[in-house]
Order: sequence, then C-alpha cells, then structure tokens
Amino acid sequence: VSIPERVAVRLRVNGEEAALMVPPYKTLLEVLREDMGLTGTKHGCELGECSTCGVLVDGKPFLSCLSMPLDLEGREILTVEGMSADGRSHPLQIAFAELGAAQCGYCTPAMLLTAKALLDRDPHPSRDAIMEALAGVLCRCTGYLKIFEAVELAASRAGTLAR
Amino acid sequence: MTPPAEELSIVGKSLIKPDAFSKVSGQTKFADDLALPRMIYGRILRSPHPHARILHVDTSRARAHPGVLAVLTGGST
Repeated sequence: VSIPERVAVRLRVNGEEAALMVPPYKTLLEVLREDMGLTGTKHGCELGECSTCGVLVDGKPFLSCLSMPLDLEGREILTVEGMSADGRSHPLQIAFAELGAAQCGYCTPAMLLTAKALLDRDPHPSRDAIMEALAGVLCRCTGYLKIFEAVELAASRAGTLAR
Repeated sequence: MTPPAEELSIVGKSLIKPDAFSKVSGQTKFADDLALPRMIYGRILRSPHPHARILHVDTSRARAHPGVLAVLTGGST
C-alpha cells in the first residue's frame, strides 16, 4: 500500500473554509499549529491525557492531538483564536483575564473552549458541573479555583455582555 | 502622610496582569510555538536509572548517525 505524500483537506476553522495539502498522517493539532499557524492550540502530552490540545468540533470538546483532519471535513472547528469576534473578547476570556485565571497560560485555550462548550449547553452551571466539565483539562499551575471562579463570573454576566 | 486607599491608583486595586489578554486570546508565544528559519530538532536522552552515577556516556554511534549535527552531554564545553 502506498501512502500519498500529501492529501487535499478542506477544513472549516473559526468560521472560515481552508483548503490544505497536508501529509495524511498529520493530526489536527499539527495541521492547526504547523500548517495554519494557529499556535493557540497547545501541544501537551499527545496521548489524550492532558486535554491542552482541546478544540471544539461542532461545539463539543475534542482532542486535536488524537483527531485526523480527513475525518473532520465539513465539521465546524473552533480554536481559541476564534473565540473573539469583531475584536471583542468572549465573556469567558474577559473573566479569565480579570481574575488571573490564566497563570502560565498553557492550558488556558483548552480551558476556555471547554468552558464555552459547558456554558453553551448550561448557561448557569453549578460549581460541581463546572468542575466535572473541566476535569479532563489539566492545569499544572494548579490554578483551578480561579478558573472555576472565572467560569462562574462569565456565567453571571451572560446577557449583560455581547455574545 | 499616606493618602487614603480610595485616592490611590494602584494600591488596593485589583489589576489585570499585563499579559492576561495575550494569554486568553492564544497569542502568547511559548517556546514550542516558535518557528524560525532552519530550525533543527533536539531530543533529550534521560537516564534509565533513578539513582546512579554517570561514569561515561558513549556518544560515538549517535554522532555517526546521518543528519546528526551535535550530541551534547554534561561534559560538553
């Protein structure tokens, strides 16, 4: 069996259609970071254990390090770069900045996106629901408390801020 | 005399860190995010022993491998 050096892939990332020629063995994480220049999605364990590579696919958290781009044609992929719209930060981004919930910042993109998926389906989650939703995303600064508080702050402002 | 806290602009205020928005927007560049011209790959070989004395590191085969530019050990200068 001969594997083609590159294959054509059409991806929808942050609302934009991208036509790419990429090696078929490259993961979504690698294509986002290396071929599309979207380095906001972070490279962690590459084993599906840390979730720092998390993106949203059709609104649901997805591990980009274990996803193949060819499987995701036609799906809606959202990265941290797509969370701000028209130069306006998402309420979660504002709350994370205000409360110091981004320490070293490495898990922050995946935390934000995973929290967005939660708030989109449950606009006023309990602390337990927030903890459960974010349980898979590891923060090695261990700044979980501020992260939970930031999600609660963003949820409490829903409707008062745009988006 | 120290002015009351409400007249101070920094003390007693909750300030947003200068790099906070860069981090929450995914713009902060970590070492792994940098792509520079003619970058090469590096790999760290760690000891298989949790507690041992390094007597010698034989780098000859690694150095002889095609494409290898350098092999650095603790003894490298």
